[in-house]
Amino acid sequence: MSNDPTTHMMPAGAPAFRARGLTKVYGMGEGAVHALRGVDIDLHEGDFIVLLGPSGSGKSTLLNIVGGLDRPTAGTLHYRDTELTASSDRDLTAFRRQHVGFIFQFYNLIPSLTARENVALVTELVEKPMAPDEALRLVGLGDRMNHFPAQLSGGEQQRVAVARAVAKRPEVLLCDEPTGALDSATGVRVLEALADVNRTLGTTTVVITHNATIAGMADHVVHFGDGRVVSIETNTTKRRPSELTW
Amino acid sequence: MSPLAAIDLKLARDMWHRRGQVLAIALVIASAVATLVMALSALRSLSDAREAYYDRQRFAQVFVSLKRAPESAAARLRDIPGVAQVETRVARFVTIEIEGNAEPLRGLALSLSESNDTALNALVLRSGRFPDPDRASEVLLHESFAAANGFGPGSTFAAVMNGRKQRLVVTGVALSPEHIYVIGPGDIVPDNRRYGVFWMHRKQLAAILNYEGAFNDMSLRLLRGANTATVVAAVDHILGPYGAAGAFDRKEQSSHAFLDSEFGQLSAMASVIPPIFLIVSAFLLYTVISRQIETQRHEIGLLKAFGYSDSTVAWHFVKFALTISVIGLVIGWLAGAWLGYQITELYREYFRFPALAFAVAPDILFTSAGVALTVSCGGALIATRQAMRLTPAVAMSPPSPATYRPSFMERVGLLRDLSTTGYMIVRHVTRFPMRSGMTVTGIALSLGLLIATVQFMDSVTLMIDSFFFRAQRQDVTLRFVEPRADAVRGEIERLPGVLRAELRRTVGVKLTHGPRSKRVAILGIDPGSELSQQVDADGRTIDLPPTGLLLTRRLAEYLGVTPGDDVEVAVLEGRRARTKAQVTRVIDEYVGLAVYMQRAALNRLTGDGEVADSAWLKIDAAHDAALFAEVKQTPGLFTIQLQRRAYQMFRALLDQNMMTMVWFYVGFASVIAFGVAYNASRITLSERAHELATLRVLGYHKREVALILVGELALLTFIALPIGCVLGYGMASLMMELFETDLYQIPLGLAPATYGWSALVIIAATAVSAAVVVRRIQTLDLVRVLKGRD
Repeated sequence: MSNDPTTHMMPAGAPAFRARGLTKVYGMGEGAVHALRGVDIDLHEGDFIVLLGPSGSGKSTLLNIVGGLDRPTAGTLHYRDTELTASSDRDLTAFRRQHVGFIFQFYNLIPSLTARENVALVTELVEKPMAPDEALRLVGLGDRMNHFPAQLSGGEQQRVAVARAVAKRPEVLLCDEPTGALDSATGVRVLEALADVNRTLGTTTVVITHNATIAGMADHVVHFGDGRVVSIETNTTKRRPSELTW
Repeated sequence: MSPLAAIDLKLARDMWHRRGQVLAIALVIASAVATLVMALSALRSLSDAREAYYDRQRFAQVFVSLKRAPESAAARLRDIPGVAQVETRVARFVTIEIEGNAEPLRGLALSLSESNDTALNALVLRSGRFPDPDRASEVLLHESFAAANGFGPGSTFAAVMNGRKQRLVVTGVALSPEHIYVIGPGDIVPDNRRYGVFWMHRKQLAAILNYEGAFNDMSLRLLRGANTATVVAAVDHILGPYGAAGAFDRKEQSSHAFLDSEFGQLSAMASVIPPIFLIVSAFLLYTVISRQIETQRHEIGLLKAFGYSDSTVAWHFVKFALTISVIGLVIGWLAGAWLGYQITELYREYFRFPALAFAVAPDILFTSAGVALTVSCGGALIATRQAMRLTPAVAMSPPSPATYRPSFMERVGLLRDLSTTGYMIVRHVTRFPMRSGMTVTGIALSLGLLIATVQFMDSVTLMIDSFFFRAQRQDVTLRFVEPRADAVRGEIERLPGVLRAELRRTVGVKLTHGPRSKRVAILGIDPGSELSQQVDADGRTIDLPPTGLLLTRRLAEYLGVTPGDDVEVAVLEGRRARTKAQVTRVIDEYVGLAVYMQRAALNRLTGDGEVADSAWLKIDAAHDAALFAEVKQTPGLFTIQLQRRAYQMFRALLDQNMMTMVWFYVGFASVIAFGVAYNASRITLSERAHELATLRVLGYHKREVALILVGELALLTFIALPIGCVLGYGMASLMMELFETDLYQIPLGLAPATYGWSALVIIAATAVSAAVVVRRIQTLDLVRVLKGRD
C-alpha cells in the first residue's frame, strides 16, 4: 500500500495490522457521531506505538476495532493475513483469546479472584502461557500473588492487569490509558513492565494516552484529531520509562 | 412538573427496565392471592349455599334410626325441652332393578312428609310432580341417580321391597338437603349409577313395608340455643326400647360430614399454601429493592442532596414494591376468581345443590389485598433501611470495592482443584450469604410445596390400597336383611362363582373412655380371614385376639386409649348390652374409624348367638351375571356391594381429579422456582455484568461466560434440593394432618419417585430462568468496559 498517498507509513518490519478506510459512525441521522473518518494505518510487528490525541479524536475507537471488540462501519482491517472486518463474533473472540492482551485504565480485575487467579483466568485459555507466578514476578508482584484486588494499591492492581495481559504471551498488547489512574512513580513502574514485555517478547504494543510524556518511550507516536490520523512521528531515540516524569 | 411526578416517572422507568423481574415477582404474589381467593371464595360459596339450603328446606339437627316405634312415641319426643319440630318417616335400603342392567343396584326408599311446605328436610322439586298419595307405584327420584341413569318423569324401574318386586314410576326429580352428597352405606366414593335415593308417599311405603302407624327413622329440629347433647340423650332414652341405633347430630350426618371434610380441605389449602408464596415474594422484593438501592446509590445521593427527605426516598422504593404487589393482586384476583369458578363447577358434579353460584365476596378480596400488600411492604421496608441510612455525600461517592476472601470450604482445604471461574462462583455465593440463603430457601420452598402437593397422589394411593387390598379385599359384599345363623354360609357357598365366603357381623356401638365417647361400628371378623387384614404402624399383620378390640389410630387418639386400656361399650341395637372391652392393639387404617373384634366375641357381647349380617365374597368374575341374578332370587340375601367396582371408580376419580390438581401445583411451584431463580440470576448478572464483559474482552466465549451465571444458580439449586425434600416432607405431614377427618385419614406415603419428579420440575424451572438471563449475555457492552470503573 506504499503507493497509497494517504496511508501513514511507519518504517519497520512487516505490518501486524493493516487498516484501510476505517470509518466508524455511532448513531444515525443528525445525531450521528463520526468517531473515525477513514483511517489508513499500518502497525508493525514488535513496535511500541503510542496513540495521542484529545478526547473523542478516535483513538479508543481504533483500539477497540483493532482489539476485535468493535466493528467499523466501513473499511477493512487485516491482522497478518486475516481480515478481522470479515470475521464472525466467534472468530473475533478466538482472535482476542489467542493473540491480544488488554490493559484498561480501571484495571478491570475480578474482585473475587486473587492476583494469581486473575492471571490464571487468562493462562487457562491458551496453550503455552507463562506460569501465573512468573508473569506476576515479571511485574514485580512475586510477593503479592495471594492478595485479592481490594487488598492491593492502584499501581499493584494495574501491574496485575499487565501480568494478566502478558501471561499468555500475546502478539499484541492493547493498553487504554494504562497509567491514567496512577501517580507518576507508580505509572512509571507499570510502563517499565510494558516496555520489558515489548522488548523481551517482541509484543506489538499499542498504548493510548493523554499524557504526551509517555510518547518519549515509543517507537512511533500517532497523533489523532477529529477521527483522523493527523501525523505520525518516529522516535529515533527511545527514552526509558524511568527517564519519564509528569 | 412537580417533584413528585418526576420521581414517579423514575419509578415507572425503573419498573419498565426491570419488567422481567417485576412480572416474576408479581406472578408469585398472584399465586398466593389466587390460592387464597379461590379457596376462600369456593369455601364461602359452598358454605353459604349449604346454609341457605338448610335454612330454606328446614334441614334437621338431630337424626335417629330405629327398628320400629309406634307413631305415638313421637309425641313424647316433641315434649323434650329444646325440640322445635319432630318428623317421623319410614326408611329402608332396597335393591333396585333397571331393565337391561344386570348389575346389582342399591337404593334408599324414604317416605314423604304430609306437606313438603312445612316438612323437615323438605325436598326441592326439580322437574315433574310429587307422587299421588293414592298411587302405590309413584316415586320421586333424587337428581343424582336420575341424571346418571338418564331418568326423568315417566321413567320406570323396579325395587325389591320387603321381598316383593315393585314396579315404580318416576313422577318427578328432586333434591334434598339430607343428600347433597349422595353416597351409599359402606361406600367410600359416590356411585350415582348404582346407588340412588327415592321417595314414596308415606301411606304407600308403609303399606309395602308393613309400617302402618309406625316409623323407623326420624329427624328433629331444635330451638335456637338448645343443647344438642341433652336432646340426643333424651331421644336415646325415649327411643332406646324401640331399637334406636343412637341419635346423632349434623356432624355425623353422612352428607353433612362429607361437606365439612371438603370445607376443611379448602381452608387447609387457604392456610398452608398462600403463606409460602407470600414469604417468597417478600424475600424477592427485598432482594430486588436492595439491589436497586445499590445500583442507584448515586441517584439516591442526588435526590437527597436536592432536598428529598429520607422518608420520601424510602417511600419511593416502597412504592416500587406496592406497584408490583398491586399488579400481582389484580392477576391473582382474576386467576383466583377463575379457578374458584372452575373448582365450584367441579363440586357441582359431587354436591347437589338447588343453586350453587360461585361468588367472590368483597371482604375476601380486601383480605387478600391486605395480606399481600402488608407482606410485600414488609420486604420492601427492610430493604429500604439501607437507603435511609445513606448520607448524600456517601451515596454519591462510589461504593468501596467489593472485598472477597477465600470461602470457608477453601480455607479448610476443600475445592483445591476448582477452575478459576469455579472460584468466582463459590466466592460470590459465599460473599452474599444472606441473599444466597434466601435464594436457596425460595427454591427449597417451591420444591417443598411441589412435593407436599404431588405426594397427595402417593398418600391417597396408599390410603385406598390399604383399604381395598388389606382391610377390605373382598370382590363383593353381600348384606342380609336380618342377622342370620352361621348356617347361611352353606347357602352362600353354593351361589354361582363364589370362591370364598367369610361371614361378618357389624354392630353399632358407642365407645366411651373417660369424658370422650364416639359412635362407631364394630366389625366382627373370624380369625384367619383372608379377605381382611389388620396391620400395625410398621405394616406387620396382626392376628385378631380372641377377645378385645382393635382400634384405628385416630379413634384411639380421640378416646385417649392405649393398648391395655378398657373402654365402655354400649351396644346401640338389639338388647342394647353395656359392657367393658379391652383395647388390645392400635392399627393403622385410613378409611373411617374402624373397630375390629372377633365375630364370636362380638356375638357374645350382643348376646345374639352365632350370627352374621353380611358375607364378604371372593368371586369368579366370569360368573358375575349368574351370581347377581341368583342373589336377586334369594330371599333374605339383600344387597350386593361391588367392592371391585368401587376400587375402579375411586381410581378413576383419583386419576382425573388428582392429575388436574398436580398440574395446578406444578404450575404454582414452577412460578415460585422460576421467580426466585430468575430474580437471583438477574441480580447476579447486574452485579457481575462488568466482570463477565471483562472475561469476554479477555477472550472468553459467550458459552464460557454464561457458565459462570448458570454455575452459580446450579450451585444454589443443588444446595436447595435436599433442603426442599426435607421441607416437602414436613409440609406434607402438616397438610395430611390438616386434611384428616373421621371419614378418612390420609397416611403419609411419599414415594421416592415423587422427590425425583418434583426435583426435575424445579430444575427445569430454574433452567428456563437461567436460559432467559443467559440470553442477555449476548448484549453485554464490551466497549463500555474498557472505560468503566468496577
